[in-house]
Amino acid sequence: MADPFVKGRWIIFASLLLAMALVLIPLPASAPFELNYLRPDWIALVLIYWILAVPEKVGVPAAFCLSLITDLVVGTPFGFHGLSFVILAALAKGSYQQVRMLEIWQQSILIGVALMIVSGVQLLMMTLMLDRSSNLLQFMKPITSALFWPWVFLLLRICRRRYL
Amino acid sequence: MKQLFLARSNPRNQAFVLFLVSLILFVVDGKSAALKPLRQAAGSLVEPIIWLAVLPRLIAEQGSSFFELRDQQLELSELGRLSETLQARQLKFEALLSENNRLRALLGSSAKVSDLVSIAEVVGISPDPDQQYVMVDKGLNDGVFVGQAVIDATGLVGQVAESTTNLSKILLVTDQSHAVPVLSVRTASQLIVEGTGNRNLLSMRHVSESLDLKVGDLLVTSGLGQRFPSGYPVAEIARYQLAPGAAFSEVLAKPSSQLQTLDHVLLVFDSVKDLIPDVAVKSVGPADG
Repeated sequence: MADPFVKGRWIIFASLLLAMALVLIPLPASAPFELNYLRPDWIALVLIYWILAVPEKVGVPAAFCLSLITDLVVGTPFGFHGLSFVILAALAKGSYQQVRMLEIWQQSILIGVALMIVSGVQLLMMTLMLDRSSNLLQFMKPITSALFWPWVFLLLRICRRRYL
Repeated sequence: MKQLFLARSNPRNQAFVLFLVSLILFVVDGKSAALKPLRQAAGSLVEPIIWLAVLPRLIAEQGSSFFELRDQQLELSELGRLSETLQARQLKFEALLSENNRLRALLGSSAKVSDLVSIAEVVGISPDPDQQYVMVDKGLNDGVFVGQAVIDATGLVGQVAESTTNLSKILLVTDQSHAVPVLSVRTASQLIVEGTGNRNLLSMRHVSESLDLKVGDLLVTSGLGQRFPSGYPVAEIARYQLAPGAAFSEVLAKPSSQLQTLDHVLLVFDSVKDLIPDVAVKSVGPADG
């Protein structure tokens, strides 16, 4: 008998790995550089999905570990993604029952707002603590992330039903 | 049974503690080099993830090169011709090099004219546009070290900020946190060029209005600070404005290297330690006595 806590866990790892690869893949050199501000935050979206879907498997500590790995591969100081992932994970874990009841587009809006708030926290810390200015175009990311949420949600739901 | 419930702490408290941990880590890692060894060790472990992101492009390159055989043959003959002309120029360069070294020996200077370089391929760029760096496919295994100067065929690119087993992160000169000491070739005035976070703009702070600068002046590394070898082009002054009443003039420059379309860079070896920078400056400056 497989342990229900371990069964199908690989699909969670695989989807997070894929999200990291999607974040890292460089745009072609011919594309305008500003397009980078429109790339959704794939890792946060996948993390939110798994917490909403299987909160007994993925929680705040997992989000924290994920944030450290993300900091390493993206090249941000340790803790930068922790600032957002930990809040997102806590919010998702605290309200997954209500959020699951919502329509997908309502979830999109909710996630967009949550991402907007945490990226505000991140940029504030960047400015206050490290004295580095950020382009306000960074606030486009939560919007595109919200637009991509339905597709992430549907795709990962298929994966979850098949493998988990 | 009760023990089990106690062991599982409240997720809200957990989140609060982990948020504080993140914040502390962020400040410590952002402001000091204390966690750099840890980053280097852990970075080597997560290298496969970065390679995973590089994979699709490598496959695409292989695929397209298969179809573009004819183009490549054309390119090859062109490169052959280019190499011939470069070799012809190299002949003269060798003579100049030995002459220069002789003259330097007469002056008692140990500054070297040529540096050892090693070529590296750019495999990734920063996904965060507010951070300007690229990843290259050479790492600790190839002798890359943190702080190493990186150039391309047209000028200074930046320096190695982090290095893992087979990958290195190269901070570009245009990153907000980057600064490089330079001198203007025309007047030998010393300046410090800083990154702006914009891919094709560099800036200079605290430039007094008495300094002789013009739009179009070439700025090369001065070698001061012993981090960058001297003499590599860094930027060209693009805008020089004297605001009446302001304490300093506003100077902006355009980087010499092609930072938007980097595909190969050169890592400079064996040049920083035994460099005495001021002789080159003296010979350009006004004659003394």
